This record gives sequence, structure tokens and C-alpha cells, in this order.
Amino acid sequence: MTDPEIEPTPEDGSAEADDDAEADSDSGDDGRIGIFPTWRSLYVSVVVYTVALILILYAFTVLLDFSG
Amino acid sequence: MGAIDWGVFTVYFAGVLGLALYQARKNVGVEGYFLANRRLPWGAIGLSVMATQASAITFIGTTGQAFDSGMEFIQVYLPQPLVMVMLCVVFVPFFYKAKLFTAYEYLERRFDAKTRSLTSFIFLISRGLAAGIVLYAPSIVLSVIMGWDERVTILIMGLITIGYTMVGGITAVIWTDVIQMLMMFVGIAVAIFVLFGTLPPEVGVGDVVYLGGIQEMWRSIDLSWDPTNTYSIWSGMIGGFFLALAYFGTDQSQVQRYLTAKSLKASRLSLIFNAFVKVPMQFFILSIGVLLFVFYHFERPPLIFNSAEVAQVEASARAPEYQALELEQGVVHEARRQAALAMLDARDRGADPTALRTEIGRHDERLRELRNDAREIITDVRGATSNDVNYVFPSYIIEYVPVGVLGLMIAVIFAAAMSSLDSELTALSSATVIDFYRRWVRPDGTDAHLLMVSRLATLFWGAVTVVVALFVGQLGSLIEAVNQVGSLFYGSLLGVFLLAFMVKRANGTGAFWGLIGGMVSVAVVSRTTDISYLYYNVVGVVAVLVIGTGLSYLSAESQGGPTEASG
Repeated sequence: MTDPEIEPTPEDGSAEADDDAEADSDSGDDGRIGIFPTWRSLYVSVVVYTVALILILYAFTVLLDFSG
Repeated sequence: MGAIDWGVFTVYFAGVLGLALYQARKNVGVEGYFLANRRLPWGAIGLSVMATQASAITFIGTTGQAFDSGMEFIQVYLPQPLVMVMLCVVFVPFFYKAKLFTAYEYLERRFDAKTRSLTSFIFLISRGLAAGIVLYAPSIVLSVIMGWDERVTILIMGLITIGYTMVGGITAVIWTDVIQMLMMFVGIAVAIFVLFGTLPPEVGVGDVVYLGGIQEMWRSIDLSWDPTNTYSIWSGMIGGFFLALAYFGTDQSQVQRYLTAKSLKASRLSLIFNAFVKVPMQFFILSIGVLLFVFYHFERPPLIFNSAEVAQVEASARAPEYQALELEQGVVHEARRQAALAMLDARDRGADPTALRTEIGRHDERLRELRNDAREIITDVRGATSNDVNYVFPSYIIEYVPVGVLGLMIAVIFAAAMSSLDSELTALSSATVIDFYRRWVRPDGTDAHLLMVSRLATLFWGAVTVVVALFVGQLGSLIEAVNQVGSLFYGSLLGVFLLAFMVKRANGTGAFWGLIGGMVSVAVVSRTTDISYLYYNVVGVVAVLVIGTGLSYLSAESQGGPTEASG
């Protein structure tokens, strides 16, 4: 018994096969994603943002510890 | 609740039901019911993704947790921006391009039917249980406010949500999620504003920060390497990363959201939106708990916040003991209040506050002991006790927030609950119909027939959710309970998807038995060690990858050649 909606599988079955190409083609109709020129720059900004969050919260932890 | 509060509350319900019915007109067939015909914009999906995760538990359980132990829970959320990037790069392109209805469909294309069925079945069981907890949380609020039995409030909440989800499908769910999430943003801001407004006039923002800091309530990062420490930066960044990746990448209640996008770009943007907004939102929600902690330095808190349990104790033979504890609590609280004010004064004068700080710490310790003694009495009288921190925020809003705001806050908690529950019902329904009914029972069913079955499946899972909610009351802190249920399965589910994405030679045999091996590994680790439950996800992923890869290679060799992905 087969699912009528199931289409043929990509031959290698892996995600990375066409991900890069897709990411490039999906960079937007105008090649930009908002203020970001590429998806890669957007992803890098998220990573930097995460590191900044951790550092801010660590500073928060140290500076607002009044337990003596 | 006064007439104005009821008015606000009624407007919310009327608005949500009206919007749901309006959006229901746009459903066309099964694809419309489950995927909104893949035409929704990223902003709506982004808010829906956030609303689905932020349940009423987020407001009730998380604020209570911060009231009890400070901001450390934020560490669980810190890896989420990185998770969103990984989803955008690895998961979303494959799911979106394959035109799937459910995440588990992909596993049949990649591996085989039994792997798809097993993963979908695990999702149905774990999410069905979690949905019950999500429904139970707001019933606490209603039962405290109305004085109703929790079972009555569970039934009312459940029936309303089941009704509009059955009729409206995913389109109604996502657009009501948008409204509900915006209400949550407003609710968070209003709660913080009102909390500052109810503090004594002489206590300012700096004083609040200082008093919280004395008890280390602002400690957000814990660098401890101890693996038994539930919340540290390591358990958060490692265990929390895998938990979030599994939740957003393999849980149908989230995957279904970004499959409704009108383009791959829209899918990705909805997740990136969450990457930037989620952690700050969680920070402010936790801050409400710390503000409550400081607030109750100046206003006397109930010894036990769950008024229903207090009423039972006061009607029992142990009432005199409980009242004696209450009397002492009043004395100790007043002493702490005086010490807190004196310490703020000493700080302003530049005097050494060490002695006062020690005194406050001593009073805090005694107050905790009194609360523990009171809980023991409740356990003795009732045979069990609920986790009282879940009642801290509801107790505050009932007692202290002004008219109108009470109705708004109650509506916000309802919005949070309903925005999660409706998403989970559509996800449970889609997995049931697409992965089981259409796959195994009626592959040739007409669209109209499948649409009818989809609505019935929504009704069925709604009923299951209600039943689970009726029996979930004795679990510990609600937010932990949800995550713990997820952690037992999520790591292994994620492991199967990573096996599919990363190991080209993995086959159905390896994936199926790797999944079972992963779950067994997590069960063994959870029973034999004291490590934080967040690490269970790592254990599940590693076990599935190791067992799955090994078995794939072994089974391929036994068949005399390299394994290829099955069609």
C-alpha cells in the first residue's frame, strides 16, 4: 500500500544535496533579506546576537549580585 | 472580577471566535485545513510559532519559577537563536521543498514506512500528554478566581478551543495566534508596569534591583560544570540546544506552522523573527517573577498561594497548626519588611548594610521553612500538594491589579493557553490523518472525506487532552513537567532526522532500531543518573546516531552491498 501523495525520493536522500543552491536562489527577489545582503550575513548576525546576549546576561549576573 | 473585567474578557473571547469563524471560510480541502494552502506571510507564521511555544504555562509556571529561584531558567532559551539558524540551513529547505503535510512523511521518503509510523506515533503520545498539561495550567487561574473546581474550568477551556479549531483549521489557528501573541506582548508590559505601580512609593527601580540582587535573583548565567545542576549555561546551551532543535525541527506542532508559508524565504524569516525576539521576551516574563519576589517584601504574601488548598486545611483538624504558622509568618514578614526598608536607607546613606543583609537572609530562610511546614500539613490533609509556585502570579493579579487590567490579564493567560492548545490539536490531527488514516486505512479517500475525518480527529485529540488535563494536577512545576515529557522522546526523534540528513548510507533498519535504542538509552539514563533532564536530549541524539549508523552499515553488508536511500 502506498501513499498517493508520496513522490519519488531524491536519489541521495540527503538534505545537503541542494541546500546551498536553494539558499542562494532564495536570497530574495531582489537578492537581499531586509538590511542583510545575503542569508549568510543574516545567520552570522544571529550568532553574534546570541553571543552578545550571553555576555550581557553574564554581566547582569555579576553586576547585580549584592549578596555580599 | 467586576463588570469591566468581564467585559474585557468577553470582548477577547468574542474577537477570537469571530476571527476563527471568519478565517474558517478560507479553508479549501485537506491542504487548506492543515496547511492553509501554503499561502501565509512570514510575520503571521513567526508570531504563531512564538505563540505556540509560549503557553499559559509560560506566564504561570515561569513567573512562579523566577519568584522561587530567580532568572536562571533563561539559560534554557539562550541557544534558540542558534537553533533557528540551523533549522533555516538544514531542516526547512528539505521540508518545504518536499511539499510535506507532516515532518514524519519525510522519513518514509528517506527510510521506510515503519520509521515514519513509529516517529509519528511517538509524537502523538508525547504531544497528547503535553497538550493536557497546557490545558491544565489556565484552569488553575480560573479555579482560583471563580472558586470553581478545576475540572469544570478544564472542560470549559477545552470545549471552546476544540470547537473553533475543529471548524477553522490551521488558517483560523494561525491568525488567532497572531492576535493572542500580540495580547501577550501587551500583557507582559502591563504586568511589569502594574507591579512597579503597586510597590510602596519610596521604593524605586534601583531599590527593586538591589533587593533582588541580595538573594541573587538576577543570576542569569551559572557557569557550574555539575551535570546534576538542572539549569547552568552548559545544560542550557547543550541540552537546551538539542531540546529546542527537536521541538522546532521535528515536532509537528511547530513544523506545520512553517509549512504553511507562501515561500521558502517566508518560512525562514518566520524562524529568524523568533531568533531575535524569543530570548528578550522570556527575560521580561522571568523578570515579572523577580519583581513579585521583591513586591512581597513589602506586602504580606499568603503563606500558601493556592487558596483552594488553604480552605481545605482550614476545614480540617490541623487548622490550628496552620494558623499558628500563619501568625509566625506575619511576624517574620514584618521583620523582613522593616529590615529591607532599613537596608535601603543605609545604602542611601552610604552606611554598611552587611548586618541588615544578613538579617534579611535569616528572615528569608525562616519564611521558606514556614512554607515547607505549611506544605507538609497540606500534604497530610489532602494526601498530595500542588506546586505552589504556579499560583504566585494568579494570586497577585487577583489581589492587586486594578479593575479592567484583571480582565485583560486573565484574557492574556487564556490567549497563551489557547494559542498553544489549538496548534497542538491541529498538529495531532494532521499526524493522525496523514500519517495513519490516509497512509494505512484510506489512501484513496476523497478530499471531502479526509476533511471530515480531520475534523473528527481534532475532536478526538481534544477529548484526550481534556482527560489528561483532569489527571495532571499532581505533577511538579508545570513548565518543567512539559519539558521533561518532551525530553524523554525529543532527543531520539531528533536523532532520526539528523541520521536522515547527515548519514547518507543510513537505511530504514538503522533508523527504526536506532530510534528504539535511543529511547531505551534515555529511559536508562533518566532512571540511573541524576543528570539534568536537559541532557536527555543529547543522550537520545547520540544513541540514535551511533546505533542507527552502525546497524545501517551492518545490514547493508549482510545484504552484500552499500545501502542506498529507500524510495
